[in-house]
Amino acid sequence: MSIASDAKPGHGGADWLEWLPVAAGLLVLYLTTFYDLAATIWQSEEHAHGPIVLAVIVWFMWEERKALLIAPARTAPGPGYSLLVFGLLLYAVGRSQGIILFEVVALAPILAGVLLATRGWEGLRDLWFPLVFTVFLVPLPGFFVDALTVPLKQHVSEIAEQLLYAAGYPIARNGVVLIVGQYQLLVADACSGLNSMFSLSALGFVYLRLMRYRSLLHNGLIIAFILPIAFGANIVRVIILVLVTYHLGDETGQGFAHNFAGMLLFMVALLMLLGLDGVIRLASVRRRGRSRV
Amino acid sequence: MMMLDRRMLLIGLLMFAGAGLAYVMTPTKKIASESDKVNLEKMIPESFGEWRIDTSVVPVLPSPELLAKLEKIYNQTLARTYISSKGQRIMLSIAYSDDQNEGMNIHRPEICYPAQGFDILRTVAGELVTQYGKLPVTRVLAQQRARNEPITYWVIVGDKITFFGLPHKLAQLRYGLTGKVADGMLVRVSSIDSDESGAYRLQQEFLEAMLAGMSEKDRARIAGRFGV
Repeated sequence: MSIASDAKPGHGGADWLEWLPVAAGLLVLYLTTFYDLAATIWQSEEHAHGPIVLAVIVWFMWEERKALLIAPARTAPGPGYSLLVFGLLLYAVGRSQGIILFEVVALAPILAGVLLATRGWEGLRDLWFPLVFTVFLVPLPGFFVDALTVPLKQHVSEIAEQLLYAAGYPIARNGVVLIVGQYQLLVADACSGLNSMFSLSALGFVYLRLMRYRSLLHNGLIIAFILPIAFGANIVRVIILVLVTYHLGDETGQGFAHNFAGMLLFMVALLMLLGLDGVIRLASVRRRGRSRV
Repeated sequence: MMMLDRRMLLIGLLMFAGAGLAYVMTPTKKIASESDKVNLEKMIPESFGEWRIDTSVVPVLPSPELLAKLEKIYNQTLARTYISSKGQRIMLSIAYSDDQNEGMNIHRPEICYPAQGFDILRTVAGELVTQYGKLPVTRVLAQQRARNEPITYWVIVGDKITFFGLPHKLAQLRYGLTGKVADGMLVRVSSIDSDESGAYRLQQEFLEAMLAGMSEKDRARIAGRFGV
């Protein structure tokens, strides 16, 4: 990327104008999509992470904006236009048939196609992260959610029950209804944590990108622990909800559930992530130290 | 200063074409508006064979939060309990919408029952053999404490009977890609019975009697095209 920029100096800001037709095209395609998303599923608790993911994508693209201004030595029009047309067809089917999954998934091939056709493989390499990150914009398909929600919910409530029971609380469980003292708590679908697992995974990937670790093992370990951490954070959330309800009453519990539980979930997950990262770093430092001795 | 790059223009044009294509492909014709209005209350007779309406039991409905959503999605719902001359009870629940979409899933028993605290013990695809042909149905066993509730249900998209999941989406697409908006229906019967296979047998008898008690046209509406 630096070679090409050296070859074409001083072109600077004016080059942005080149992108005008592409920007207009993207707006025509996706303004309605994102408007629809904002009006529908982004309103739901399960997909509330949508706008944040979009902001993250834009932010990481902006970070790599230099790559957009550099005319590359070689473009890849063949794969580029193929991907673009494929993406556009996918978009058209999704948009017209109400398959939001296709509509949003299409964003990745469309953007990748544009980059390949105009900036070549180099451009794609520079912007791979925001492109891959569009995965997290995709609403989870219904059959996927259906298949996983119930078992997840079951496990979360089971483990929460057992832990609280072991801690001496008068707790019983019937299916996904937790009975603690005089209170009954239904572990709702949202508490299955399926969607939060999705958004927490996104958080994990952003974290990795920001840290930019070189070690494959380090990155791999964190990726491997992202889902267990999300699962654990959900159990912690349910437990805290039960405790708040039990000690402070139903009303406080409900208010807490609506206002803070989501925030808490993220904080718990982030702390676990930081803790894990700290342990890994410590371990690698120690290992390096030992090998030096 | 000619800043506009031909490549960029081409890409922009392709994108506009994609948006245009999506617009042209969007189905607008509701097939429900082509045929007679569906009136569930009238379509299902109040009594047929040895069965008549029993007002003492109410079938499991989606939770209140879901019902609010349902009202947006479903044009009509019907929930009735029938009692036989022998005192056996069957709960019937039908949901109809003239614009069939993902929201159909809300009424899906595998989702609606657990939301009420039921456990789903098993879900199997089955076949309901009636005098009019074979109905592909899904059988679900739901349980809540002592309440053991075997369920038989099927889904109709347009005039075709289908299963939830991918077949459902494909049935929807078959209409959508020809510019039509299909209507959809979910028909569900269940009974509170500890004898699972006995319950399914009884539900079968009930459904046969119900279909027999309906006009041919209504029957096609409720159960899709038969015998294919």
